[in-house]
Amino acid sequence: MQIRYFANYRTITGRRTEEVAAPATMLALLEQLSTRYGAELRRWLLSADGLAKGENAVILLNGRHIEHLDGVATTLKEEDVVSLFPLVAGG
Amino acid sequence: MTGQGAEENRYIRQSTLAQIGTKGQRRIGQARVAVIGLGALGSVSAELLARAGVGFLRIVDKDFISLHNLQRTLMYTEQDAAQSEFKAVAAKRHLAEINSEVAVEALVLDIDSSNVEALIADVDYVVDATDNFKIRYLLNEACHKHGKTWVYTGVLAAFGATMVIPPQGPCFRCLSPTPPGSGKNLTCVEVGVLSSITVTMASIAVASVIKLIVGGADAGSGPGAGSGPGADSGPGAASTADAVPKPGAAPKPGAAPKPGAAPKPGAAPKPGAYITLDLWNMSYDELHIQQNPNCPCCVKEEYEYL
Repeated sequence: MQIRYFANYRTITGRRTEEVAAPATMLALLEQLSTRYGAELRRWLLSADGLAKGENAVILLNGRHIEHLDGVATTLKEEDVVSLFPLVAGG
Repeated sequence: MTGQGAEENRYIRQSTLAQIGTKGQRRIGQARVAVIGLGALGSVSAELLARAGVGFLRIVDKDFISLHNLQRTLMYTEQDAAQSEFKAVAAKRHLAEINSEVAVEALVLDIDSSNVEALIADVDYVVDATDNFKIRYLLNEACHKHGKTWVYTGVLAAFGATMVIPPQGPCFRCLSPTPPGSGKNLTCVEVGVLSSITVTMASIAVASVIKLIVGGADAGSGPGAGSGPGADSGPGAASTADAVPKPGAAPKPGAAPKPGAAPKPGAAPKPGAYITLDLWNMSYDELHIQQNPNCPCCVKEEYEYL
């Protein structure tokens, strides 16, 4: 599957996109990416207890926000595209 | 005061644009736009809209000007900050000096569910230049309820995002179903903001509004609008070339639109197009946000925040 990073997630990961083998669920993917790229990405992607997505993280599965699907329990397939970026408030 | 000759003279460089023309300029002169928030994004947006000759501007902010605003708010001066003037009051004065033909209504107001609908009900388009999600969720519902297109814009550090949100959606709740919390390191107060990104994002937002005005139709019903959710090149696809001319692309002979003609296909902001820009790393991307088929706002018309 393909992961697309935007905004400061690109700075943290040093990548725009990457291909990874699809884990079973979105939570497993977020945990996998957080382990690979460290505490800074984890702080954005995951809640403090690691059981939910981070509050400001927008996580799209094929263009749809995962909260419109099954949240972090959403299952993943190899052909999926996941887009990750923070929702920004500053004005 | 706005004679035809004076209008053509003042706006000649704008009406000469093939995409705008004299008809487009007339539409701009008849347009009514609300700019909500008058910080970095709002001061630039209001100034650009006034210089463009928008007929009516409603500008709204509750705060006063501080010295630390001047790094990125183009309209205000040291004198405004020294006098701790309200942003809306100072902006109205500066806008009158910039273009006295524009009717400006300035409101020093704390926006909440009791007043947000009145702010947007009698304008054509709404520019979101706020610095918080509470007001954005209010604007989202108020604009949907009253059939208004609004433009979300947000900035942080050196990156920013913008999305035109038409009444048919996808709406802000399709992008983010619930307001995020105020976590650490998520605001410009904590991580700072590059002045260039605020000016750039405000410019993109104003360009979207001008396109909508000149096109004379809301995104989605105008020429070149996407065919709805899923119209992108693939699931969650990012692309960079849908709304801008390809560099080096040679114009076809005779293809240039006549002044006043409707925008060329591809020019109108597309529903669901989420533009994100990083000026430090110089990257531009456009994602396609899919509408939630069960969205409480833009599908079910259940307004939880109003």
